[in-house]
Amino acid sequence: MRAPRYEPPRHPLWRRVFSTDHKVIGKQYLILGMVMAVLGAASALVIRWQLAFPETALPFYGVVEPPQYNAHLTMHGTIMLFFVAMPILLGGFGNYLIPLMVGAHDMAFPRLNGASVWIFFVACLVLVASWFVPDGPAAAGWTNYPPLSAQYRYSGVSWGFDLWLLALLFDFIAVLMSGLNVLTTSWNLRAPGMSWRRLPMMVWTQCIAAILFLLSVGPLMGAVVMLWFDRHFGSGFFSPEKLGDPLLWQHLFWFFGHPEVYVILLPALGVLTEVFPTFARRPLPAKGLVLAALVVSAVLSFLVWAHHMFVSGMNVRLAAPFSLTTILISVPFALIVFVLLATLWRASLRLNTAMWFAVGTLASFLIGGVTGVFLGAAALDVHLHDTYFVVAHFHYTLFPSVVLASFAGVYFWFPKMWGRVLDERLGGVHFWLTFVAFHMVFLPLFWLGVHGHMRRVPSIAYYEFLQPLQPIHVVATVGAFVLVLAQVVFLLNLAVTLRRPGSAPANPWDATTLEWSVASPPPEHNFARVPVVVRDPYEYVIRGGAVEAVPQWVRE
Amino acid sequence: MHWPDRMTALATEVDALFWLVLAITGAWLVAAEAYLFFCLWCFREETTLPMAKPWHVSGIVVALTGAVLACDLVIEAYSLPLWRTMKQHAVTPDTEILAYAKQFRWRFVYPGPDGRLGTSDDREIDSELHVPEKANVRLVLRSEDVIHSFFIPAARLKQDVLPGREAVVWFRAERPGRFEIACAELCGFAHYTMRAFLFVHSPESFREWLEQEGQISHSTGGALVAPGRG
Amino acid sequence: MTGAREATLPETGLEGEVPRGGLPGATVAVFWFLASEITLFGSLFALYVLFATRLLHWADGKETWSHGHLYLATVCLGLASLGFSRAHRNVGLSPVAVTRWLALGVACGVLFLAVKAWSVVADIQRGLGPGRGPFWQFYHLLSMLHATHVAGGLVAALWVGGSTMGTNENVAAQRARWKALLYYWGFVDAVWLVLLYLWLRY
Repeated sequence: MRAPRYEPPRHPLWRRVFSTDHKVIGKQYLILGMVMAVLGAASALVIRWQLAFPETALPFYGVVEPPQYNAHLTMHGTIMLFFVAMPILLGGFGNYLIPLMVGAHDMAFPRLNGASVWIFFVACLVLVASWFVPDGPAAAGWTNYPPLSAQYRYSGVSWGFDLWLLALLFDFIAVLMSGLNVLTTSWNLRAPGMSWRRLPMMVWTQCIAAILFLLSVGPLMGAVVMLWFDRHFGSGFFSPEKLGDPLLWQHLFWFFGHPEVYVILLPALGVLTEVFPTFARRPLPAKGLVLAALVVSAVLSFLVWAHHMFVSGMNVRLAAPFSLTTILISVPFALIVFVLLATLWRASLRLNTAMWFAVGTLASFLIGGVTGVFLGAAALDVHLHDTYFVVAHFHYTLFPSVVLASFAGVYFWFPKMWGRVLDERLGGVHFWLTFVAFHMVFLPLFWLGVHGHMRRVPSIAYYEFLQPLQPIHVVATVGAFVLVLAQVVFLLNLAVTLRRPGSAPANPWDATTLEWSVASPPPEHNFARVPVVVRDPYEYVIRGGAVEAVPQWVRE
Repeated sequence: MHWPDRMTALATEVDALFWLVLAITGAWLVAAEAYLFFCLWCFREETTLPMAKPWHVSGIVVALTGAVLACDLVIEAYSLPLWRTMKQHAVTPDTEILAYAKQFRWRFVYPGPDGRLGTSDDREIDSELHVPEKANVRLVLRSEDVIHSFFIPAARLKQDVLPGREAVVWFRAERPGRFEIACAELCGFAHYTMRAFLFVHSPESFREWLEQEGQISHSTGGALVAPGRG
Repeated sequence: MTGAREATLPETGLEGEVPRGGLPGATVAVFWFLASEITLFGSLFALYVLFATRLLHWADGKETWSHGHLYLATVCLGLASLGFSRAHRNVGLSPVAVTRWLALGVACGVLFLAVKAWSVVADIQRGLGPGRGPFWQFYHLLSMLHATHVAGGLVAALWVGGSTMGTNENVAAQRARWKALLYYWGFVDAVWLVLLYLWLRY
């Protein structure tokens, strides 16, 4: 196997920390993402506490003041989408798995890869720093609409917005670099025999997600710089007094914002398409249809953005086309859901923790998907926009994608990454607590939304029509605290498992893709010899009354 | 737990559309979850014999997807005309009122005794919107600073209010009562306090209010009604 | 546990990194990168034209604008691209020539940035900063974004030059990296020409 073009650094600490090995970088992304998730979850607990017990002091925090509340809800959304979802799903799983799955010794540009995780780290620092500047962090929602976000006299926040803009810029640059690596590696470094047909679905979803991100992020990058200009250089892109338009920000933001949620969803679907066949012990049916559906939904995702803006003041005649495209985008995703469900029919299901999380993702995402139909129907959206119905809908799509699917992936690939299998009993406790608590928090929120309970309010004391709903906030808050505590079980599992000696076999789950052909964890350059791929992934046969996997590298 | 208040005929239609979507999506959801549960229950490795034949599902999957598409189009067929009525329909207003949104309160400007907006006898009232029942009310919304959103839950009515732009909403209250108006777009740290009251008056109660507010002129016999009517 | 067997990978006798897609890695990467950049600049060009054709007071202040420096900047940018193009021609043939042309390219690029910086400072001093009017906010925004990309391109040129100098790496691979750099500079030039057109026409 040809050695890399450059010499890796000699000093052990430098090698470890500033590594260019995609496996180390993938783990760094995973860990950074999880650390940021703790911060995002902390903000969520502050929000939930205030809603359930307004004007009561939260232990270790104090009473939640309204401006702080706005800061927490802004940072919660920003962190979870840009600093947890993307690094874990794209940077973590993408970086770790793609070279292994295509049969390469590393990503196409290892140094670019290393640079991307460090730029992401700087982005995290910039965002966290915004908590400590005068007037606090950005506080106009994760969407930060101007004019509120453009002028100090409206928001009372100064440096916080600028650091938010900078953090986003760094974050997008890191993901962009990652995306270039993903696409070049998949194009160029596939092992002999690894045709596009034989590529695992995880690699396909990562590539499509990378393309989606690359093609949608430009307008938002432009908008970020424009907002920065409005804030500091006297321009008026978004100010009516200077012949600008606040709606311009919304169009640019959501033109990126909608493809972005599919950038997050697709790798999660990738995890499901790897886990389901392995533990159903059967192939993923109709792979070609799934791919076609993914491509159609990716294209459509560029045509739906204004469904976030039905009542925004944009031309009302635009509602019809965008409502139509929004409703239509449910069609390819329905197809993918049907294929995943079909995998289970007359399968030989192995229900371990990874599979429970994967099934839980699908079961929960179904609710998120159908509630999107309510919001896509413009006439219904008039009432439901900016209410808790929207909050419940996007948590029912994002939480399964970002948390449940990520845990499915972690439990599945943990043996490969760390050489040990996570404890199944603790895993079971972790799953059921997380799953039940999640529904406890978010299912009642649909009912709040139907009643017209607005978003982003720290207290409903001013509204008589919302008073009867206060008990629901208490239920949701109890669920939220249980949900966060449930993750302690996962940390416990990590501690217990990492104590054990690393002795996992190369292929503990009897899976079929190339990463399972090397030791757990893989050696430095992954493959001692160039692997040759001889068949499609997810092939299973029945031998002697039992189902056996036929991995991609095995000639029969 | 009661169903949210309804104040207008359109609110009833919106609710009907909600139930339609709930019925259709609910059926798919229940079916999918039941199927999932069934598979988890019945097809475990320990309890079933593995399936010998290869698996061809494309036909079923495409058929089901087609059914989903059909359901989507049915929903759109009901939703689009309703949207047009709510937002694009140029209804003849019986009453026109201006609403100003500014951090953090709503201000309503009434036409005054001459029945016309934009004249010197316009009356301005903070946080109270008074309208007669069974009259088409046209509200012209303006923001004086950031983006707000005018939301009457009982009318299933919402419209973002932007600076530098006018937004128009219309509604027709079918019964008298007191309803709440909320701001539905984060507009700053006191966004949650931006509440106003909507008073829908019966004809007698409306006359009383007009007199009380000095908005009635005895020569026209009734203000807040378009000239030539009443 | 069933299926835990370690399968062995057969020897293939293949050597080196065979680009399966048939294109050098640098070319694939720069293609996707430029696709992303096109959406950034494309959306801004579209907005520029939209604002320019819709707003009554679009061109306020433009009468007092002296834009002669734009032609000088264009020459500098063109020479920079020429320098890099000549450097690419000499890769694998004459390292000295490569270094000389690279130096010319970088120097002209730096000159471009200096001319732009000087003109922006002069504009601001005459009250023609981003707050002057709609044209000005776009002019300064686009200038700044383009200049950032020129600066990035100079860093990339130095990196490409530095990484190919003094190694015995495969010449084709070196040329591929230089080619990718040229694609990028071609894009930067194309954006500049569009900007010139937009600024002078609207």
